[in-house]
Amino acid sequence: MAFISNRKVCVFCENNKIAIDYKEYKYLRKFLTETGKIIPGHVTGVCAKHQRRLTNAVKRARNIALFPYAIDPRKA
Amino acid sequence: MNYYETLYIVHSALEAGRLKDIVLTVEKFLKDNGGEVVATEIWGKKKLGYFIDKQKYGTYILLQFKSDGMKNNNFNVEMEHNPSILSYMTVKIEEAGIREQTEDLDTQIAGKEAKTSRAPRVEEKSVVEVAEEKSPEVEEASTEEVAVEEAPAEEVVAEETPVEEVVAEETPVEETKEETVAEDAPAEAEVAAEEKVEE
Repeated sequence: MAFISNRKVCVFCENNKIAIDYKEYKYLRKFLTETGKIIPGHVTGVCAKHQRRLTNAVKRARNIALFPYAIDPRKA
Repeated sequence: MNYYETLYIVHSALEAGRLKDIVLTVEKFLKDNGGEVVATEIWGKKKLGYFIDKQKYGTYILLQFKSDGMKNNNFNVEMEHNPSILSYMTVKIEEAGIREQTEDLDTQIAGKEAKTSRAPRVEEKSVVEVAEEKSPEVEEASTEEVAVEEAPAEEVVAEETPVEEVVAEETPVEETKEETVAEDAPAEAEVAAEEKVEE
């Protein structure tokens, strides 16, 4: 029986050169929605271990105003 | 000894000389509290994610240092009490996360300033070039681009006005062409209808 897997693979597991760091906020931007929320790991395919580090990095970036806490899409 | 880094935001109104003063005073705070500066990196003026002290922009500076961590709290208190520092964050880092400082402070500050001051000049040049290129054939799309670029450079506006007039003169020609086409089409349709009637 032919079986094609649709399972996404974690980008950080695939390429271990990508550092999850709040200073790389431009890269982290793609794990946020347009309203500034963190996208869950089961949507982006990021594994649990890296999702934990990712959320910490995003929260640090928010603390130092590299990211907003929330974006109002009507005003942007 | 551990490695730490502090990312802090300086008020964007501070110019080159005063910015350097702030950086040096922060480094002095650090040395007083038993730290050792490893690298300083100036990220330049950025838009903040949210307003801090009613400010929309700030200059980000990354300071990496070596310390035993006992007096980091005193360092943070001094950062808190400095009115020209909008916000700061100190975190512990691994030794692998240390960045090499290639340029000294003066060149970094000068580099950031040159970038910001260069930007409008480049736009002016491009506008002039576009204006020169457009001799007889002016496309509507290019005129839209010029209109967008006009805003920062006021001097160029005077040069561009004739170009716009050219556009104004040309557009009616196109309209008349369209009208003639439009007139032709119904005429043909009438002919076709007449032929059908004859059949």
